Amino acid sequence: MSGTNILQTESLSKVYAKNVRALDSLSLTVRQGEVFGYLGPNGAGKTTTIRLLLDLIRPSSGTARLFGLDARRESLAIRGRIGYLPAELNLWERQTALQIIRYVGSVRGGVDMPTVRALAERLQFDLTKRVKAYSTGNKRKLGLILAMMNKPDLLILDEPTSGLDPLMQQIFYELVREARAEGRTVFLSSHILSEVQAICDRVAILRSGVLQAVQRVDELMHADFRHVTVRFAHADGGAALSTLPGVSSFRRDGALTAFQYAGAFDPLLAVLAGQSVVTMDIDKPSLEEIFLKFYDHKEGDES
Amino acid sequence: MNGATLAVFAETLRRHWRGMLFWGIGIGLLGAMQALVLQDVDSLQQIADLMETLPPFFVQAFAGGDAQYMATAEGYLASQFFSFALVVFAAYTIGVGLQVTANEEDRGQMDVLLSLPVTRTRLILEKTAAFALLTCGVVVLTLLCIAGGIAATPALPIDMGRIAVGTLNILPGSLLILTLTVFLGGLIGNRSRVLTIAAVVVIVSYVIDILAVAAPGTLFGTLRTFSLFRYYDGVFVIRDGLNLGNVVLLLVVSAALLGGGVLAFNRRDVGV
Repeated sequence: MSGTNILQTESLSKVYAKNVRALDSLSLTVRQGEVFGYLGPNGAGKTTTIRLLLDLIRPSSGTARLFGLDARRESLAIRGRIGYLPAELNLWERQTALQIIRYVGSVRGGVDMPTVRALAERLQFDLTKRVKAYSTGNKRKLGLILAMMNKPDLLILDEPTSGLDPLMQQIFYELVREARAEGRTVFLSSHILSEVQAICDRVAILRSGVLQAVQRVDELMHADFRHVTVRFAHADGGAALSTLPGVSSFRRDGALTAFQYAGAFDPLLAVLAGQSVVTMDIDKPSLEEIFLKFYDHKEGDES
Repeated sequence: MNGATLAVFAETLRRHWRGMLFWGIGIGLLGAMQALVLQDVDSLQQIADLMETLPPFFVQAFAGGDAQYMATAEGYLASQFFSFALVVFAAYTIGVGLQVTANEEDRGQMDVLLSLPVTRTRLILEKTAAFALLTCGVVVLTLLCIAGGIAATPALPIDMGRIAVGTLNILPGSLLILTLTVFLGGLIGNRSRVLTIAAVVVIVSYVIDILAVAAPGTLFGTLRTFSLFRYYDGVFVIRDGLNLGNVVLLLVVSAALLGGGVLAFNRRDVGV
């Protein structure tokens, strides 16, 4: 990762008609060679952000720069270096995949057919059919080929694996990792946290148009809490744990006690030291659990 | 990296040339049929005589007040085909005008196109140029079909030069309807609204023209200034020749509508 900023927004906001605020003062930086996950539930403002970056819609205030160029005034030069997959991919139903690839390629200034065929082979995609004959997953594959075929410096992918089967998702992850290895940048919107967990370097979490957090995925994975399950020798073994600071979601079932634990482990171990512990399991939470916990905390703070 | 020159233009031609054949031959056969039903000069005179028995309103509306002109083969074709040919062409040009931006924006395909290195201006201009060329193709095919119909009725003395002028005269009005639709697409974006407004403009314009010709001293006579069909004048252009002033005016308004469409499309959010 070179550290050059590929994408930078400053107080980027978008207000639609009837005063609907879709994005509120987004300030974000994505560096070259990074796979950046852009997370949030449906309606959070992810697609609005992407459409602002592509100059499909215009900001109400704030700025966005890609490759150091203004997303509004220098959009043409920016779009020459971008591969884009929309969340809802609508293509020309009566055209074949190959015809669409040639069209998109010709607008870009040329088609790299060996790359197209290599991508089609890896994604197990038949290029000869008309779009209307493809399943949802196959349409998605075509969208990925269109986005990736020119080996763009920046891939902007909106919900890229929506409709792909698990095997194809893994191939997509490989393609993203290869792009990163070549020094290219990927900006990936998703609400599938396992996907972000699998391929992203950093994530931004968006809710109701407001950026909640930006964090490295590996830090986020270590940041919050652990699932702890303890089997005691006696049924009343874990009672003292329920009041320990950092313990939440506490459950007891006979000699088995399960809870979530946040913070340093010394106090927990000190309590357990006086108990007769048979087994103890400590599991990392998934990013999804961290994400939900993150929202729980926020909502708790707000109320 | 900027996109290849005329890639959008070439793709538009590739996708829509079959439609040009369909419309050109279809409209042409409609005109050819009018020639084929005429067998001799006597039948034309009978029609002219019949027209003179009708109330003046009808003679004004459908023969421009000149029933004897109807007794000529050119006059008959003018009133039975060229008087409304632009309305039929409007069905084609509104359809292809929607293809410039409105259809793709409505279907979400515009997001894919505008994520490519192509400006909105270039997109509209290349597509409109392609559809203008295809409209020329429809006009030429129409002329060829009518010529075929006339050739099949050798008993009638028809000046093909005048018929050719009458057919080519459809082109400026068609381009105006095309660019009107492009303008509305650039301004509004919603396909249904664009289609409705364009169709209403054409139909109202046509009705005003008919009523204004039939009753020139009324409000319709004043409103006729704003009717596209006043400048198309499909009936008498065959008798009197091409009115260059009208042609230039229609082309200037077309250019203005196209420019307005480009400006409007450049200024607004797409696909919202």
